[in-house]
Amino acid sequence: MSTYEILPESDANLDITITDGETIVIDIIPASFTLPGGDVASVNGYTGVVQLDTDDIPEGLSNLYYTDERVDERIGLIDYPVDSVNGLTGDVVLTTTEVAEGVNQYYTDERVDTYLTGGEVTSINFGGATSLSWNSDEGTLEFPVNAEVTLQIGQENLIHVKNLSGSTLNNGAVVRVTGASGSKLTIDLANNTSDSVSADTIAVMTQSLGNNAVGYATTEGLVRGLNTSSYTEGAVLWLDGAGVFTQSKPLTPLHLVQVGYVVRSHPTQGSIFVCIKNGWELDELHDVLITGITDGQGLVWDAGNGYWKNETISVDLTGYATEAYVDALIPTNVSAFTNDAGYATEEYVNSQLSGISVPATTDDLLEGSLNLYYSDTLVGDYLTANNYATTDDIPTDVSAFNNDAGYITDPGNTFTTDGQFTFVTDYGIPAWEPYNGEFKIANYTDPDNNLLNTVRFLTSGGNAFAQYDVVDTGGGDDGSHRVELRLTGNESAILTDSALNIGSDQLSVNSANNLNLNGGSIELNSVNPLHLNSNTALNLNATEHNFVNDGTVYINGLDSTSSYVGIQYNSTQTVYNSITDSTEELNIPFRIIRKHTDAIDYADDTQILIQFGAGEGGNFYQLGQLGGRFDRIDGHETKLQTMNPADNSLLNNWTVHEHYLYGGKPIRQTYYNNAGRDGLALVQDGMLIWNTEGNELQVYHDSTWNSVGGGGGGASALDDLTDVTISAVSDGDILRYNGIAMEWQNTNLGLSLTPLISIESSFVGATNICTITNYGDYEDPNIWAQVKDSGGTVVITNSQITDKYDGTFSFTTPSIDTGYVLEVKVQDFGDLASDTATATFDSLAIPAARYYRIKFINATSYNMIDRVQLFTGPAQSGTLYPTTGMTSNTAPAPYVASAEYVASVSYDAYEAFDNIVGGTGRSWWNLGSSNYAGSWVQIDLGSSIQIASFILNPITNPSYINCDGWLIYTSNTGAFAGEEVLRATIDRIPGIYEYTVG
Amino acid sequence: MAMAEYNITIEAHSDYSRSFQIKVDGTPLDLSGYSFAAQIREHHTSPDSVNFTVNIVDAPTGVIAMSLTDEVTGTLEPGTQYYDLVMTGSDSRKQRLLGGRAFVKAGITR
Repeated sequence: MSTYEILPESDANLDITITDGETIVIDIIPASFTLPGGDVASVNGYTGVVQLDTDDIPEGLSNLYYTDERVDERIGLIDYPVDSVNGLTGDVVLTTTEVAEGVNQYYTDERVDTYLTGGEVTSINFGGATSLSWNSDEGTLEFPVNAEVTLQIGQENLIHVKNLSGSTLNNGAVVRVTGASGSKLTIDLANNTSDSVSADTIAVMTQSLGNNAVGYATTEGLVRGLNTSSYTEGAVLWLDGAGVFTQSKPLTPLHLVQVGYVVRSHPTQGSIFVCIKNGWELDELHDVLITGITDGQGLVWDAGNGYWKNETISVDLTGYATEAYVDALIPTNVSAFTNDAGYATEEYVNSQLSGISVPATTDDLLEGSLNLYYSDTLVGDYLTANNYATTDDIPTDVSAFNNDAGYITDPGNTFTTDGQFTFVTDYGIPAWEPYNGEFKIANYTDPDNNLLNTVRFLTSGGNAFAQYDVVDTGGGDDGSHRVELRLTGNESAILTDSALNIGSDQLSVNSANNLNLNGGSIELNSVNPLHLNSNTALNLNATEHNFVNDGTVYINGLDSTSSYVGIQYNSTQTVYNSITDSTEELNIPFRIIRKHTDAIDYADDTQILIQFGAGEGGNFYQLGQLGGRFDRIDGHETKLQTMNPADNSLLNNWTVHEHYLYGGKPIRQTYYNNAGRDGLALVQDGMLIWNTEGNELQVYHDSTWNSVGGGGGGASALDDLTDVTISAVSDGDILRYNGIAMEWQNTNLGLSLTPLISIESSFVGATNICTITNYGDYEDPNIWAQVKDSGGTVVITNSQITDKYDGTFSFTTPSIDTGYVLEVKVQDFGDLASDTATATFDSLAIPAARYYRIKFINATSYNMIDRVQLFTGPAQSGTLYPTTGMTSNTAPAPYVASAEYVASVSYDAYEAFDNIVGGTGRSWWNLGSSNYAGSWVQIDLGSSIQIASFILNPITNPSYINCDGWLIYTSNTGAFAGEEVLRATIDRIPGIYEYTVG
Repeated sequence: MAMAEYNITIEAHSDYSRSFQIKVDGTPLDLSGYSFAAQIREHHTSPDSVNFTVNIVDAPTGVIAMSLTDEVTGTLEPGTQYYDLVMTGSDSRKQRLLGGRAFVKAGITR
């Protein structure tokens, strides 16, 4: 441990203050305490007055000296806008050598040459307005020589002339040379009136040129912008007057000067092609010399001088043919040439030839170039070129074509030598295209003197898909012809897509299995049925026998008596009309058998029956000779059922079941609507049966049939047998074996089983149900019952009771509330009767009650009640409640409807009490309840009212009736907590939708 | 200039250590470049002295530690002795910073 002591500060000018603590703080007062190192003792080793420069100061870490290298380095880091120019730095002077070529390319000699020769130059300027350019319309270079004139190079020639005519020379004026002035030819208008003003015609003005002006005229080429509308394009133009041209050739003495040709006829844009040709004078020819010419002189050849010269002519015509001389030389029947022109025209020759009497033939005429003679070679070549048939193609036994169309086209159509026409295509069966015309083949008479035509269709491979004869049998119903279609050959007629419709004629199948229907049908629409007259069967694709496996056979015909016919079987052999599969006998959905004597297949002589099975092997029904028999493994069931044609529901069902309890001898039980009725026999101990197979009498005992024993040694009656004792025999007795006495004795079996019945009192009109508590003791119970009043009068007969076949029966409680007696007997099998049981019950008047509630009997799902009405009198008489149909659960007052469940407000409780049945009235629907049987609907009448009868209507849709009936309870408190009373029980009867009680 | 006077007590045969923070006008003095030394003598004329070990603990905040081991304190004579603390600047100039009496108390356990 340390002890610190701080001495008192005695000096007020302490330089240092001390603060004690864990760490003692020494605080120096800088004003009076000089820290060591505070003054500069030296600078960089220098003392005294020091003058430093940067050489004396070493470089620190942050503030660095700027050396050249560092500056260069930093400058190098600067991102200048231009670092270099084309890779050059410094003071760069670029030439095109350093500048790479971009979009704007340099003009090299080669490129200029290419440009000039590549057609890219549109014009070349020579200064001012003069430029050389390409005229695509004229197809040549052109350049303007002045503001008005453009020269198309090579297509026109211009002369630079001066107008000294004294007036303006217009564009298009024909001009002539008059002299020269100022190194220019001088011009004036040309004129064809004389040689002096036409001989020097040189050009056509191509611009308007004023007097004394210098301009251009065209000596050859186009002059445009003229009115040439009166000229025909292409016409020759001639000088016609002063500077004017015409397309009408001038006549002598006018001078001919050809100016050119009309190129375009147009009133303002017309053009001419100038081509000046001056006409020569006769005396201007170098071999003609005309001097001092006078009228009537001619040109005479001067052989000494070698030229023509004008002289006066004198001619001697002796020996020359005159016209008269020529006419005289022509045959006499050619009278004369009348043509003054002196030529014989075609018309003239023809007119002269028409009078010649010698007949002319084609042999006398040479063949021209257009109208040729028809030689065999030409005709043959023509037919060959156009694929026409020749007579070589027509067989001799086909006399003529009756086809007006007259064409038999390629390819591949041939007539065979056997009189058959074979139609062959190169492409197999052609695509079907409707053809509405006729296809005729000439008749052919066969050796039987019948008309026979054979038509055969072949594929390209030579396979016949249809080959048949069309035969006129001559046996038609109308006494004339009847046509039969006969399938011939070994091929089968295969009708692939369409049905084969037989109209009024007959389809004959002459060989086995020639008619196959692979998917189509045969429709016999005429009065003739389908006859199978031979041993040929009608095969409908069955693998064996003749079964209809698919498709439909329509028998629509009428017989000769105009009666509708079905399938007629005329065969003497077995005919099956069945639908089955390959297992045949084991799976027979439907089969009709008409069987005659056939010792081979069946032992039975005759069978006429219909069998139809359930589809499971071995089970089938049979109707016919043996009745309807359903074969099962334990015997047969023979049934006869009647069906409701309206909805195919089962109406009645008779069944006789044959048990194979005894070999070969069935024990039959008869049922009607699944309830035993009037059984023929009951297998039980003591039953005696004659066994025809064993030829002995047998008794049933211990579940087996036992032989009765010896034949009796000549006994003629049962009683004569040693083991039989007959005594006091009465009607209905049977033999029963007495094991103790070891003999057969007659007895009525002594069966007398009195039914035990239970019945309670019931309200008038309600269904009262009686229960036979020992019902199970009866093997084949049949109930008989009736109700008597206190006076012994039968008020309910046996026919008015309803046997429910479950040990109960019901009847309507008599409407008079008093006591009654119920009598019940239960018949067991055979004629054995039971004793009669009796019971009493009361018919109770329905007491007054305020609340009436309806529940369901054995409800399994939701139910709908359409209407419930309550009446104060019996048989729905008296006052109806509710007196007015309810429109809500509380209206009209005082009625209140309620229910345990409602499907929705649309099916509220009051809907059952709206006094409306069917129609637009709704119903109460207990949908939503899972306690269907317990759910209820009720009405509170507002006061206690005695109701004697009811009407109850469930909805008429059986889908919404899922109960066995209804219960009507009443209560005066509305609690229904045990105080309620069951007033009526209504049993539901399917199909009945209105029930009355009381 | 006058040093600060601060008396200390040293238990003989015990380790002695004290920390000091040096400030200038309230601001911690950065001791970088400084060194410190301290001795104890029976009186200022005594030829014998004992050196404190003085370490700069945290230069930026001006904290130093002055210490003696128990072996060293065991050599001190009980009674009043004197000490001082001298700081030496980077210019080798020395400045006595702290001084006073050092009360040495005899120890029993060696």
